[in-house]
Amino acid sequence: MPEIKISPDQSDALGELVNLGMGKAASVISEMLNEKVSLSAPEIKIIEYSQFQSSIGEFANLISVVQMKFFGPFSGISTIVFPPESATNLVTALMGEDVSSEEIDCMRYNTLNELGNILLNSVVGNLTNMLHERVNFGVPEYLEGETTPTLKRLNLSPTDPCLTARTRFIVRDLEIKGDIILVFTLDSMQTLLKSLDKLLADV
Amino acid sequence: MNGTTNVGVFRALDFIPSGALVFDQSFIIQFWNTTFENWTQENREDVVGQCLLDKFPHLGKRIYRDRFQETLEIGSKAIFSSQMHKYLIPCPLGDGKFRQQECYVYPFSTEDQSFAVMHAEDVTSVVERSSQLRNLSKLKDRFLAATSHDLRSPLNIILGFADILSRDKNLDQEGRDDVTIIRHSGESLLEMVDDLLELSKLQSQKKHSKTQPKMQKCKIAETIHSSVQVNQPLADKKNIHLDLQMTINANALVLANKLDLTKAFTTLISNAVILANPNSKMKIGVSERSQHFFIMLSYNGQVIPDDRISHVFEMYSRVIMDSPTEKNTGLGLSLVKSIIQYHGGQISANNRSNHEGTTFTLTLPVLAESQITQAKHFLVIDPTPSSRQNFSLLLESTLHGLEFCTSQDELEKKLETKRFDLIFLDVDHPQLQQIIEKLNHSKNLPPIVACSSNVNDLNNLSSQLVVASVSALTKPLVKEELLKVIQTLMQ
Repeated sequence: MPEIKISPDQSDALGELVNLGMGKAASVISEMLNEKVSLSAPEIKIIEYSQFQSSIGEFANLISVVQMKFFGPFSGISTIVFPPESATNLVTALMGEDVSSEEIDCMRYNTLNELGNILLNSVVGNLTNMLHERVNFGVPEYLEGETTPTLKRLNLSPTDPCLTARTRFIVRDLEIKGDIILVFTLDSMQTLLKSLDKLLADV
Repeated sequence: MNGTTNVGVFRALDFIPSGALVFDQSFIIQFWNTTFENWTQENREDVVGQCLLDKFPHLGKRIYRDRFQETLEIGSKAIFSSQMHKYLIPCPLGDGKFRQQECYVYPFSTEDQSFAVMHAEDVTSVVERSSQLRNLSKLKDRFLAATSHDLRSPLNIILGFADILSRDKNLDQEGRDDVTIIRHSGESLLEMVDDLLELSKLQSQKKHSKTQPKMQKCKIAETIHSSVQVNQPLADKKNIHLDLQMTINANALVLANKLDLTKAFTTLISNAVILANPNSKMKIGVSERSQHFFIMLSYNGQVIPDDRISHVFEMYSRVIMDSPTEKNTGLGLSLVKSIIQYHGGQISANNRSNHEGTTFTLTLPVLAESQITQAKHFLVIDPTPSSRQNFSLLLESTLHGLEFCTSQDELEKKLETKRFDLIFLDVDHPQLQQIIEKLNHSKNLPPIVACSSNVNDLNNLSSQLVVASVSALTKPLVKEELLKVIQTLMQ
């Protein structure tokens, strides 16, 4: 990947935009749960997809992923990756603790797909909205399984530029970790950074 | 009734077997398809022109309204799963039940207007069938557990009498051989019943989190060593050298149910011994990295076909073939995997590159306490109940000397009666200044970990405290970070 440099100002602005989107999603999730959802500030990085793959770590042997494509001035794939225990915690928080783990397994697909849909719509929507751009959203898709083959199914090239936002939120004392990754085409990443500069100049 | 537009554009929605409606930016229903007419018995003429949020007031909640708004404004597509919402449009089925729906809301624009299309798929029969299947699966588990349990008693009687018979001096050689067959078959059956019982116990623990097995601190080196020793006679029979190499601290700990973990190691090693070639060497390596123990077991012998190796841990997968002398119940490796997984670990099998055998790799999380030196008394100064509860949850399994206080008076009493090794202080505490003063005046002040959701508050605090070591943690707390700070300060 030709090196994409991100200035501290751009990184701060991106962090804030992603955070705003996540905040909106958290308030919807909070109403769904009827519980307060505490959210940490996301840690923003621009890395290559191969670096992201290794950052998932050798111990997250299983992952739950919701991916959603978007097209327009910024084209790419938005993805949220949950480690297995966080995925279970999230479903437990939504369904209540009396639900058996067998039932949680059955509910994972739909529940996580919808939660991923809420988070990704908010993050991508807020980002494009604030940058005065409009994108077409794809339909979310839920994938689950061993890390390496599941990440392979995303059909991304190792050098694709990724904007990663690592976050965690706490619901009812259950810690939920998640990585939100926006993978852009190279052109889109440059367009994004230009739009960010424009936004910063207008502020 | 409000004015309607563009109805003709949506006519195609009459031909789909799912409910569909269209609403505009003011949430006015512009189209109501024939499927919804059939499901709700409400005619299009009566519904079109009404406000969606007035017609179906529950959709006025933020979880629906905000997401509909998002679709209309930014063009996102929203999913509403049947599991979380049951349905968006109430469609009665006549017996007090409603059609369960998987709903999608997506944008649609004409030249001059934006709309949202709601598409509802009826999944009632799928949900009911899956519930029936879950009930059947529960019934099967109960049957398996009860049958295995009931088989054990008569089997033990058969084995007991076979043993008595085998010692009967009046029995000729042929009779003795027959009794040996009865004993061996009975023992195989008992082993299978025991594995079945163990598996159904694990399944039941998995399903009911409240019946989790008792976990305790175990020295992993000791547990593996004893599992190797148990398998030594079996290995000796085939002249297999069990080469155990451990590069971990002898006192390194895992949080485990010792009986189950020993059973997992023993079963894994015995399976490998069955598969290994006679007169060969089996390597068992135990190492530690990135907070995990790695146990690698490799043998030369029967190779699992590449296309079946991913099924090796499934029940009755029969991927591993019986050897001429040993029968394989088809449950052993499935049991091992269940045990390792509930200990927070992973297990995998890979054929060795030379295709002369297989390597099993197993990971287990290191118990963080084993890395923390003997700090026993921790004090948390925090007025928020949920925050204190969070500390308990995060540290419960690793520390026993965890105490709490909420006010400066309580702190004074605590400091008078006990010497603490570490103090966690909530920087957002309303009595922060008084607490800092109290801490600055107390003797032998331990290291302090300042906790706050605001990083700036943490930086300010360190200048105010007269203590050798102040660390900071941002809320919400994360177990790994918490343990890392404890470990650093205790060293």
